[in-house]
Amino acid sequence: MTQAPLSATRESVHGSATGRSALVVAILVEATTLLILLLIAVPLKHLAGWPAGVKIIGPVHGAAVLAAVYLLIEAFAAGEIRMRTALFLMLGALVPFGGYIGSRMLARRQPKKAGLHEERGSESAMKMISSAIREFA
Amino acid sequence: MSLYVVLKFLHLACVAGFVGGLIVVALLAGEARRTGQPALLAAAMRFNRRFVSPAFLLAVAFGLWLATHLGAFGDPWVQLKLVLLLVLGAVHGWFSGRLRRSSRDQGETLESAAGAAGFFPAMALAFAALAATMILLAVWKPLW
Repeated sequence: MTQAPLSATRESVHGSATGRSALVVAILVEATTLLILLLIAVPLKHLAGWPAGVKIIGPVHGAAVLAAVYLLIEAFAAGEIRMRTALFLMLGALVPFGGYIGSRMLARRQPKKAGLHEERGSESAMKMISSAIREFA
Repeated sequence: MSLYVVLKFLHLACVAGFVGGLIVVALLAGEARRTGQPALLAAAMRFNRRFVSPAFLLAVAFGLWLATHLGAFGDPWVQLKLVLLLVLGAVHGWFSGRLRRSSRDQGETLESAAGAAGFFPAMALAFAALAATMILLAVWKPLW
């Protein structure tokens, strides 16, 4: 049987970069909503008797966690992050400020063009966020 | 027309779009891998991102709205559906990732691509089985 290579298309390369940017954004949103929940909404509920903040930001944070986990599974299945990185990001999301460290770490790592490994790069989190915003705008 | 009927219609329309679209994407991707056509794989990826994923999000949103409207969150069948929803979401994430990986891989031979071609139709079957279970729960509404 003749063996011919399957060449990567422009769509595939573009899709890969967008997916990782979306993951960085989702982790940042998750980390920010966790801080708002813990530092603003919960104290307002227990100290000022104002539960509306928790009722609003609670579901928003829940949706952000689910989106981040979904994109984490997607990036792992795509071979863009290792199992160790995925677990680190997932555990980091449970700790306040952990998401910021995780997203920074992710933004600095570049996936290799083929294979399961990731390597250090120089792309900043801000560049990845602006790339994701450009894609979704 | 009541809000219940409108929400039910929108939820079901999105579920139909999601499940049908996923099966189409899975079969297209399997065929693209089997015959070694990157353009077909790219089209499947595009369709997944632009149609299937939004249909999934909308189906979830309308479903949650519907459950809130009915006050049915405490019902066992709704809670079981929520668990299955998490499984379905995780499987869809895995599926989308594999699709992206397939499309990105370079230097892969037709022979190894054909070996992996069975993965996507198998995923189509898994989606259909999960969706059928969820539809059964919604129609039957068991209270145990």
